[in-house]
Amino acid sequence: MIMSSRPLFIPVILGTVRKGRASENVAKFIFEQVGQREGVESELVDIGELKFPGDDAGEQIKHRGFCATCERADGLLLVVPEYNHGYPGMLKHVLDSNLKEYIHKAVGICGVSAGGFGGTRVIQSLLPVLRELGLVTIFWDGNFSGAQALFDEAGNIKDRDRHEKRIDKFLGELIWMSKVLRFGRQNISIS
Amino acid sequence: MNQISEKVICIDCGAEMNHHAMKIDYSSGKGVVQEVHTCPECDRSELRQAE
Repeated sequence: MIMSSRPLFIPVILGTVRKGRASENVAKFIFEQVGQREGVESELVDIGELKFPGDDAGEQIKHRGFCATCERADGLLLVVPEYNHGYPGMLKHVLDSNLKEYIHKAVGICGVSAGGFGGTRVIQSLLPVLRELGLVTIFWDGNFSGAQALFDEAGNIKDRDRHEKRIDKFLGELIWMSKVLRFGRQNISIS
Repeated sequence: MNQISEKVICIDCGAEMNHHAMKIDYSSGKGVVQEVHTCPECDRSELRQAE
């Protein structure tokens, strides 16, 4: 059996296109945290820059760059704001453009909300979607409550220690699951 | 037990791919069971319609 020596690749996906989105600061903070992990490479993907068309859906609108990123990925890290207790429609539209690129890969979610529940409702509503796409969800989440007040004007997180501690556990689980699933995809047959 | 009719070879590096999943794919408008294969050398993945 082969244990791949190449670094894990876990892109951070900023899952909203709205102007003034507080999730952008969260995504940058998370991207910085992933980048500090030894043996892990990342990339910050802003779905607003992908410019997906809105008049078709699914694999008919596959985006070459996003597809390649997901194909290379060992895990995905989604930063998702909660809009009226749900996930952004554009994130679903983008995620639906791939399938085989996701199967048996790990996914972790950072929920972002204006209120005090840290996006827990959007995380819960997104889980069945990710499962159907073939992704494997982890049991830690990132939760960012009161998002507009979490960062200073320069985009630096104010209560860094608290958030770093929580994200450390989340990333530990996501990285472990990404390693295990890579080994499984490459070596463990279903038959 | 899932039956695999033949090995899938990676078109990028020539290694024998590992069949690790069966997944229903609705992209054609109806549910089709696909085998998912991943290359242990370069991590390329492929779908192949299950028999």
